[in-house]
Amino acid sequence: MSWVARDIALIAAAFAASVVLGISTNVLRRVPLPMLYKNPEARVLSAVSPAAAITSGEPEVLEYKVAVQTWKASAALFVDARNPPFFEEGHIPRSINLPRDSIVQAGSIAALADKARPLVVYCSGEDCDDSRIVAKGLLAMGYSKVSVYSGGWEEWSASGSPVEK
Amino acid sequence: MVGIRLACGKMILRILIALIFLVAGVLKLRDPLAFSDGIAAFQIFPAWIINPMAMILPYFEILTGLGVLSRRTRSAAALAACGLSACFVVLYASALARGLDVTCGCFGKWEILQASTRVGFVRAVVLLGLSVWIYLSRMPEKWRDGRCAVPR
Repeated sequence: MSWVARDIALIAAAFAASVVLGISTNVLRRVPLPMLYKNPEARVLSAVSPAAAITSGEPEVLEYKVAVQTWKASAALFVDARNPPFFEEGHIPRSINLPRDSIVQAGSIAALADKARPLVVYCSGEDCDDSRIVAKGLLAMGYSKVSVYSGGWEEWSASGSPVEK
Repeated sequence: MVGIRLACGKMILRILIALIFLVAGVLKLRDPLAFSDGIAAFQIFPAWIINPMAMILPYFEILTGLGVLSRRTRSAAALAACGLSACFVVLYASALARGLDVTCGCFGKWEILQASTRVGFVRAVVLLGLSVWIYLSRMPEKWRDGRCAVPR
């Protein structure tokens, strides 16, 4: 067997081993990946309600000025949709952390017990989609006053507004 | 003397490539969901193949990294590294051409190792260059017993 054929045979063996390892260890995971991929929005919506894609609407989008006024007046609970390490590095004061993949736990968070309470969801900034996804998930879960602060953490922290660590 | 230096250089490069694949594989294993989102961001793969790729590819990268370190499997592992890197280059080039802003999830959720599409493309090209060089460069027999040669 030439060395190229030997290399290809070894690669095929490594790939076969990877298939076996990948599929078998996935089954053993606490939360296995399903075989069919769903995008984050579909994952969140199907996690909160099977009919969520039909029932949930689009959340209202708040600009910075409105978000600051809302925060100053304590007129809404701010929800940080980023992952915990980023929340711990700094967040809007009095906000709670609810990453998109933990949205099913929203019902067990005391601050979210009242579904009529106004909520403002934010994430990193304009390029991040998690605030919209979490907001849509919350709407699907029955929260009635959910909006998105689109500027997010980048705009808030850059504008010199209060931050909490 | 020059031969020993070259052998040392090659060995360091092999260790570097092995580490890149090992670290990338292990971090992806820790967060397969982020990796599957990263694959999907390229908007090139159908939904049915994304999650199987996210399950299998990390192990293939780990085996490639380990293979580069072993004398018996080095050649095959270097060829696998070339193939993987070439795929990354094509994917990033395609994303650049379509104006997509992707973070591949190559290093899980480690933000510090994430990169813009352009940086990711350059990183993939460098990795491909190193992999090809390691695959094509056969260490001459007379250097194999040098100080930096990997024992048989």
